[in-house]
Amino acid sequence: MVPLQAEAMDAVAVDPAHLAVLLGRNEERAVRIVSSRTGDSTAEFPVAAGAAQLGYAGAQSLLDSVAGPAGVVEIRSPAGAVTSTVKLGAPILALAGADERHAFALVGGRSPRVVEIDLTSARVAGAVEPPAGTVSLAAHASGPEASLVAGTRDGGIYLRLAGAPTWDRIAVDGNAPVFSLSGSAIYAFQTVGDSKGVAVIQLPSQLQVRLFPVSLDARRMFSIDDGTLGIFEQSGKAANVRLISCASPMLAVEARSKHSKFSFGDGQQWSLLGLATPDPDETQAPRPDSTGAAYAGC
Amino acid sequence: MTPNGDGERASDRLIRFVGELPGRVADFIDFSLFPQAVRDSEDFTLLRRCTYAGFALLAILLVAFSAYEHAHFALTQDFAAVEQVWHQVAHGDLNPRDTIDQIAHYWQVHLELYIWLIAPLGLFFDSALTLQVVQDASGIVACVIAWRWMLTILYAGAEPLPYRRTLALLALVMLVFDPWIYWSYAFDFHSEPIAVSLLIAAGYAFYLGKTRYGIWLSLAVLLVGDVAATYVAGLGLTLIVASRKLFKVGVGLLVLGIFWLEFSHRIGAGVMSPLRVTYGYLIYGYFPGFDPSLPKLTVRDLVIGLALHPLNAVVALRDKLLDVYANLAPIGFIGIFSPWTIGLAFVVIAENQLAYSFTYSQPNFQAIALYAFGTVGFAWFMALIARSKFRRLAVALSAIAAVNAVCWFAVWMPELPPHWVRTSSAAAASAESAWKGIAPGDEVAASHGLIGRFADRASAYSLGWVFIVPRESENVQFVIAPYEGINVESVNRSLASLDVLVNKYGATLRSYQNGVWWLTIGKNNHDTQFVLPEGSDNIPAWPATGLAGIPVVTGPPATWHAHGGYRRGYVMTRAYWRKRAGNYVASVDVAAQAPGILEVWDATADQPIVRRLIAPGERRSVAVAFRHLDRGREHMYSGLWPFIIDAPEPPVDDNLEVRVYTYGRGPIDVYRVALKPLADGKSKP
Repeated sequence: MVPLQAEAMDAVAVDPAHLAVLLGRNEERAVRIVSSRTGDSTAEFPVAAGAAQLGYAGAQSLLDSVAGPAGVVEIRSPAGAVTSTVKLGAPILALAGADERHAFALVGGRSPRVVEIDLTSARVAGAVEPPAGTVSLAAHASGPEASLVAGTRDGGIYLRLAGAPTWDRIAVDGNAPVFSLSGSAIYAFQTVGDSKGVAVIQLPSQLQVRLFPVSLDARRMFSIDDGTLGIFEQSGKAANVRLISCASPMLAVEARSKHSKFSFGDGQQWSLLGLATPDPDETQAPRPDSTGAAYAGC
Repeated sequence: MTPNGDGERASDRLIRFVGELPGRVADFIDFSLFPQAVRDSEDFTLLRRCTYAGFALLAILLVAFSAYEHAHFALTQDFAAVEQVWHQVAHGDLNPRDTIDQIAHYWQVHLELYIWLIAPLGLFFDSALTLQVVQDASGIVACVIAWRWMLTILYAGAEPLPYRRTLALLALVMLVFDPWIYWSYAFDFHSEPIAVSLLIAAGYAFYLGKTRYGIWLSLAVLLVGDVAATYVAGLGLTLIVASRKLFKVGVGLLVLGIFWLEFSHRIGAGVMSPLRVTYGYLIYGYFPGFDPSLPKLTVRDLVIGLALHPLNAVVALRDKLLDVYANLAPIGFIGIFSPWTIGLAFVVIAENQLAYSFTYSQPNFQAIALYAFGTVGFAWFMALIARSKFRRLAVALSAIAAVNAVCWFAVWMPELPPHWVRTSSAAAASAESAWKGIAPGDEVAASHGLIGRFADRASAYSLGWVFIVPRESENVQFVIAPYEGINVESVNRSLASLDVLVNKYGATLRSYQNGVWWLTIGKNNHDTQFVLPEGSDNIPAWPATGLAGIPVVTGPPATWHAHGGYRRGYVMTRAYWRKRAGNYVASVDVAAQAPGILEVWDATADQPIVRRLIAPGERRSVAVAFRHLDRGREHMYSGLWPFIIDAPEPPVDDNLEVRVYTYGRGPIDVYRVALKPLADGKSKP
């Protein structure tokens, strides 16, 4: 858990050791770079007063989107200097960095679209139509192209794999979906009743494998270069980033190979004549951490 | 009343006899517990007090736990088989079937002829508890003889053994605080404890030079069956090592034991201990199971096979090293190497640890001979050391061993009730109510975890292993407790069986309380057998109600359901399937006037997998697809280091659980619940 200032509006990873946090003080906006281990500040610089969201752009750059009809994306160095800007001509609803070369922005206006930004040339490289009602966007770079996942207002999750011509709605619903670093999973918020959780959806099966609880204040998720999942929580009075290691069983998406201690017969179990255990009831079930380490979420 | 020749009236003699009775009983007890040398020694008073205290503890723990198990209906298949034959013989059927193990005649099981000798007890004490007390009594007798034997060793010789009183008291601690003794006697009813009480008496008789007694007692051991025959062979080996004078007797017993084992198997007994199933893997290199195409193994085949494939045995023993340690630790390890123990210990360790089952290798009734003889052997070594110049070492080693035994006791005795009794008091009360309502002539099929108490009849079947219940009486009673007791059948199978019984065979539901379902199939049904499923991917919800649900079991069975109303919580829960990793779809047949939530959990890992809202609406199917990773593994208690055993492996596959939650805002009825695999390539139900 990385404690942040209560004014934190957004957070994103810069590299495995650092987070960029967008702070909003009255009309002023600033970005603070903090250690992802201790939460200590290592740098802070002002950004445009309309800055609304941060975006990942590799360890050497940082993106921020400026609210307003012009739809400006600023590309900065980690020290805060603006290296270039890209004007999209429509309000930016969501900003999604894929890697140091690609970023995507969901823009609204009369014709909403997902705009691809070439960060190297600071130009718009293309655009596709988003699913109707899209409110969130995330990207995952895979080679020269990137896969996209969009979340809609009604909780639908749409996936557009790199090179695919269309969006495909997956069977699982959720909000603010993001890719895992490896691209082997999508994480999405699910609110059922009065509880909120993160659904872990395995790819390519597009089936949910787990739901683990998070605070109702959880707003956004992002993946860090070492596979860690960051969850930004903002309650109005406090803010923090909860970090979940990619080795956590909570993020695992593959079955674990189980071995019997029996050496004969290709590891068949020893028979349990007369002492078989009953199915566990709720009280006998072990705690979650008994599942041990697994690394498939990375 | 007339005076006798000495002028004493008969009434006076009676009064005198009654008055002397307590003293005579005390004298008999003292005689049983203490050799003459002890009774003549100055240590007697202290030893007597400590012995009485120790054995009182032993007896109270054994009998009290038996009563506890009995009251909780916590007696399973192995108890049921003996209970049935014991009851039937006592009631005049001298060649009873073993319907529990589905064997035509009980004598074929292990050739346990002693059952016929103890059966008359059933005429006077017609309770399953009697059988448990008989087993406990045999344990107490075995320990008494072991104790007397140890005292005989420590108080032998013209010269008093240095520190003999201390050594004796520490040996008593080792004996009374060995948790595996209690563990062994807690497990249903088995013949091994009966055999060991006779066996140690035989060993002690041989030690005392009373060879004729020893031989008679050894022959009595053979009446306990084919497994006991191996103990006789082991005792023979022991005598060969222990005494040149008893060499011929030892060879005789060795041959006799092997002969009896072979003989019993050749005449068709030993059905429950086929060498091929238990030890065949050592020869074939894989578990052959009950493969009928393979030849029957004889002792000779086994010996030759082991000689030709010795590495198989080495590898198997390597797998079970921890259990060898756990068995021997409370008795101080070295005792098994004493000349009066070594042959028997070799046989018992070999047959238990090389068996294709961890059940036999773990501390259990199968190793009870080790616990009794091993403690005697430890005392023998201590006496040997105490006579040497390292006499203080004997005290030190004994003290360490005694403390070690107490530690094992402290770690494992608290586990005794939760391990062996998994039936709640409320469920036991419901089971008792059903038991009282079932006529003696009725056939009963019950869950594995309850069958022990229900086996007091000619036709009793355990749902643990039986899939076709033949009809053998007009009324067939089914008592099923899916979530209670040590059930080897899965919860899924129990729920599916309930489903089949009411929907296919028209069973009448007699009662359902505290998780115990009692159903009757009566004369209106003409089926000659009842086929029960191994499991089902579609099961009823009514037997799986949660804390916020009640079973509605009126009207046609197809309309029975779990009903939730205005209470927040789970309407239905614990609908389990144990499945391999893969893609599945869970669904419930539900009608709701208020929203609910369909949940799928990995119950083994205690993690939710997926939740889906159930919107209000008419009865329909609500489904959710998910991917089951099968990542968890139940924790099995294995003790606290270094007082650990090699716990049985939990089932390989995780338990999936489907639940339905309600916010308590209105009625929600769950009729059925299903779990099916998703077809390859599909991600939507």
